[in-house]
Amino acid sequence: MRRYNVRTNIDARLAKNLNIKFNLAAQFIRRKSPFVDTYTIWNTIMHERPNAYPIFTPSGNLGGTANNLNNIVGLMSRSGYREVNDRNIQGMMLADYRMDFLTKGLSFNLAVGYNGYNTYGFSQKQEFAVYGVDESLNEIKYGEDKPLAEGTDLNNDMDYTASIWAGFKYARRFARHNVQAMAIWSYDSQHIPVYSPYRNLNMGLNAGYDYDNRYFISGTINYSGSDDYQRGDRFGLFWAVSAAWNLKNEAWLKESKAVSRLLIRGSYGLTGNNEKPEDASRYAYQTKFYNPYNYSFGKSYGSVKCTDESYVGNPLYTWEKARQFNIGFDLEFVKRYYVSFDYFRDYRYDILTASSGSIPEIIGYTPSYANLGEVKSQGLEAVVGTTQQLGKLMLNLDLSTSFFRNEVIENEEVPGLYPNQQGIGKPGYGMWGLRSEGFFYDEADIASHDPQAFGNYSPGDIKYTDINDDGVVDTRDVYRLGGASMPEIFSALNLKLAYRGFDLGVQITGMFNRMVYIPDEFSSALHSGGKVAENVWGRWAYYVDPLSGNLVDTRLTAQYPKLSTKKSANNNQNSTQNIRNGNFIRLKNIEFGYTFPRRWTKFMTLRLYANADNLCLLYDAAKVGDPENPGACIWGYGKTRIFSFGLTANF
Amino acid sequence: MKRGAYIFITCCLSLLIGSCESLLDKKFDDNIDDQMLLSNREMMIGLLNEAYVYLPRNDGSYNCVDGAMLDCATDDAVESTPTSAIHNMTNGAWGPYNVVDDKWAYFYAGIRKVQTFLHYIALTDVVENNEIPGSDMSRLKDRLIGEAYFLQALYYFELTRRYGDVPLVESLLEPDIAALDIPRTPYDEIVQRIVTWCENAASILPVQYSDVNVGRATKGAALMLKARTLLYAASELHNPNHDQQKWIDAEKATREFLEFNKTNGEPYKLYASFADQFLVPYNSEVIFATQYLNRKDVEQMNVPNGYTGGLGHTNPSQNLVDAFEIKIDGVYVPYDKKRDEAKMYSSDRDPRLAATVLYNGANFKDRPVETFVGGRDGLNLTPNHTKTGYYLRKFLDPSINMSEDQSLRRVAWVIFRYAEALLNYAEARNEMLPAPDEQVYEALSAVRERSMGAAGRLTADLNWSKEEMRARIRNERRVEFAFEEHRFWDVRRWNEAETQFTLPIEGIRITMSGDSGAVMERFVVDANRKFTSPMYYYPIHYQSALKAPTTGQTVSWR
Repeated sequence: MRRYNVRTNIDARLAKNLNIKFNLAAQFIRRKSPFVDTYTIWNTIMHERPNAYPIFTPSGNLGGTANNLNNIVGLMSRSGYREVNDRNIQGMMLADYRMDFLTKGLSFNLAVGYNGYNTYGFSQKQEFAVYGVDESLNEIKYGEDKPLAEGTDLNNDMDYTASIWAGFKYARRFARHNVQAMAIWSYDSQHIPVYSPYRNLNMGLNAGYDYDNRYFISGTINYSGSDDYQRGDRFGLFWAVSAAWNLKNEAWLKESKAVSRLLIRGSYGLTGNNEKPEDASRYAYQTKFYNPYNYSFGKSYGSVKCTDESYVGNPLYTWEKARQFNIGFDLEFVKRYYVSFDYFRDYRYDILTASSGSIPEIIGYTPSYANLGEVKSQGLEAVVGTTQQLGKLMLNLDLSTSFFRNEVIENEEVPGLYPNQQGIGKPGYGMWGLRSEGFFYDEADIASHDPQAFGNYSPGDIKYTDINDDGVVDTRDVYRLGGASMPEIFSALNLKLAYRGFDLGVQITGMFNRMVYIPDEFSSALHSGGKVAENVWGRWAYYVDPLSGNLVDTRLTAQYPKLSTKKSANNNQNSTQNIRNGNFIRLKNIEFGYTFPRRWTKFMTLRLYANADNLCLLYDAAKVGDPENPGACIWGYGKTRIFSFGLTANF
Repeated sequence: MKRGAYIFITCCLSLLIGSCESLLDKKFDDNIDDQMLLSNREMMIGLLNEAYVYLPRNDGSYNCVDGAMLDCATDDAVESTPTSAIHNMTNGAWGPYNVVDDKWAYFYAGIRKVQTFLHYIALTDVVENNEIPGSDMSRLKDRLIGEAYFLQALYYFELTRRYGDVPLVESLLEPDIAALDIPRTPYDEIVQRIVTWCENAASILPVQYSDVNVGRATKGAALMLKARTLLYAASELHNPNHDQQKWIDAEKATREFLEFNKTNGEPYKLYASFADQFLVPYNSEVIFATQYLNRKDVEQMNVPNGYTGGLGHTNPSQNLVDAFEIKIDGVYVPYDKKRDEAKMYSSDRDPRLAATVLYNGANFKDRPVETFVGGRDGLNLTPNHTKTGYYLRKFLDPSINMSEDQSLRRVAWVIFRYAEALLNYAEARNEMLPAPDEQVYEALSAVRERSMGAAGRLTADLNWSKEEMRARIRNERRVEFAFEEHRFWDVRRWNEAETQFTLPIEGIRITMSGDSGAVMERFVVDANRKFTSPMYYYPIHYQSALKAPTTGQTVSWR
């Protein structure tokens, strides 16, 4: 990659009361990469069997077979290349006009911004031959070596966003009273080729008052509109109120040595969201038609133009809303121990939800999104920490934790399902699957268990629970296995030590109450890629080894179903076998440094440091791949462990 | 100065607030909305063209149920792939939790396309409606509306023969659950609507189209649909009280079609060659069909496995083979297992046997078919080879080269053909009269003589009873329309499925031994065909029934 950044920042005073800031930044970026994309490279590395072919033949050619033409070295260095060029520009002008002559503390602000993105690229493909090697070390060629082909254009794109922000600001202190207010008008427009630009318009009023730095109150009202909604229904009124009480400044606490900080705060408000799912239609209130050539008439079989509804309008389409409440406090003892706590609740409604689950089919089309979803959620965040000075040793330790849980109130699913199938009343974004009870021990075990409707099965295959108790195990026994891939609890522990110029920093992070989906590459041996992972040693087996004559019997200890050359539909269902607890604790960062004494370095400070990022996992419940991203190294880059060393000099 | 500033501020504010809404108006319309639609003649016609897309079997191949032909769920055939979902229709697994051929949403989508057209055409005059004598573009707007009524009638016919009582949708619906959860309209009422729509369509639609419009709904198609609908409505399953008036209505409608055909210069007549009619697009026998597309999938799916590229999915049963008649002393009579076994494949058999089924030794492409044990197309040679000892011959074009991508031919799914008009008439008239008269014998004979020649003729001096004639007509339907998706519905409407579709399916095992040549042995392929009374109709998916509790599940499945 080659990247040039240009930046200009100008601050000027044009008149006695008028200050102007002008910022301009531009980036010129050129990226070259192999023709084959990242996903294909990692996927090939993951799926090619290690013994399929040598990377290089004895004579130095790329190795391969009739079925394996994707030699990895060839993919990376001989498949051609792509070049993408970006030209981006961001400009902003800010004007601040003091209007103290009208009333002290009043000013008028104007900001105009422009962000432009332009990308264009091209690629040139190349082909390479691979060579197989037979028993007599003769090489057989597959494919052809071809030079770089003619260039083809890649996806070229351009868009720019223009925005204006204008408003009056007022800030004034009268003895113990402090007043602030702001009235703003803003408009932004994002232009994309061909389509109507995305535009938002906002008018807002903001006012705050505090008395003696002890009692704070502020409020905001916004009247916002988006071009995506029907004329007449475009604007919504949103507001929030917040208050805080700085108890430390109260007379009875001011002199306290024990309590060095105590603040209580809270807020409540109504907000709106006009973001929508990627596949949702723009201007969704209108019915749209298109003209496919879907049918043909005539003795010479000519296609005729048809007209079909590409999208059926939803005139009630509007923004999503949320009512949010939050309360919290900050507390610090003897300037050394501190606690921060926040609790929030919110109720989201009018969420854009796919309504095909609840709309009967006689309507004749599949309805898309409607504002019918409702979710409530609550959570808390807490930080506890301490800063200590013990002689020459400085210590800072803090632990922060956040917990978040939501509950789906309405999601337009099919009504009347079994309780285990329902999403309502449970947290959103769950992982769903069957419950695995282990593996069938023998035929008697199969006979005494409810029949399973996924396909043929025999001893050694996965045994599932009949959750809805209807006498058969089928897709209606799928239930919410637990946490979504998003964790409910996120924690971080930070430790900093400093002693005589030496410093040590450690950061440990953890995620809890989450589940991960084990990719097929690990859970489905001999299929989805043909490779076998380590965990397959724990497979169910009961046979006499023909070579040694020994009995192999893992029936009671098996962790993995019986192996088969045919993909088993029975074992290939999502269940607790391949969706597991994904809790983990990671040693995220550790840094050790030394600052040279000032008397040695005189006019500068010099610090030497060593840093390890993403060092290791301290606890991993899933034990398969990277718990944070189980698709790592299968579908793309995995997390890297980074060691860095450096010297920092400050003048 | 101060006042000036105040005025400036007030002006700013009012200007901004006033002009706000228009800043958010759409800059330009990149979508076709209904205003644009109503002023564009081509697009209005396009709305009707789109309604043709939902014709039955326009959405896929002949092998439409998970790789199998629908007739593999009858006693006529077995699907060779064991994992195909069609087996669920015959092994008892069929039900709301295992809906094999879900057409509920499909036909309502077709009805919506028709309703969309009817809704918008009423709002505009952009499609002309002037008289042009002798042209099929005469009174175009009315003609298009006629086509729409025909399509709607056909879609409701398809819905009602699958699901019985169905909700009646006669307008463009909105996503309002309360308005969508409507009770089912009884079968007889739907039939009345279908008849009315067909009569409206028949009064407007032309008899024939110019070459460029061939394939659109015609007057004949509308009358055929009316006749078939009334025939189904009079049949025992839908007419449990044996209301004889229904047979009178059916006979009248079937006769109406034949008379219309005669008085309009015979646009439809039996095609000379039974076998070739499936290879010639728009031949004289086709009354209405889906669009003719360039395909080879019919061959790919059904040519015997021993031929390159053949997948041999459809295996006709010995039960079907036994239904074809045999010529004895110059007259065709029903086949007798004990008397005629040695002549099972002889040239004395009804020629339609050789045209429908590939049996051992039949010539196909460059060699005889080898269904004997161990032959290239042999019985159970691999899990995908024939289970019965037979393969499908009907519809296949031997000249299709399976290895050449460009070797394709024009194929459509024929919905109505002339032979059905004759057999519908024969059946309705026979049921209406106390005993068959000359007309019944003539109609039946016409179909037979096309394939069998004069030896197939039947005359009134045979003096059959109504029951005997009924049995002969039913058998004729079976052999004439094998694999054309008639038997699946016919046996149901005759209320005979519990006996017919539970019969064991037989096949033929042929062993070649050097001295004695071919030894043929009947055996049972499938003794476990299940048919219970709910299966006379299709179930809807259990979730569809949960979404609309008032509409609920198909009545027979409750």
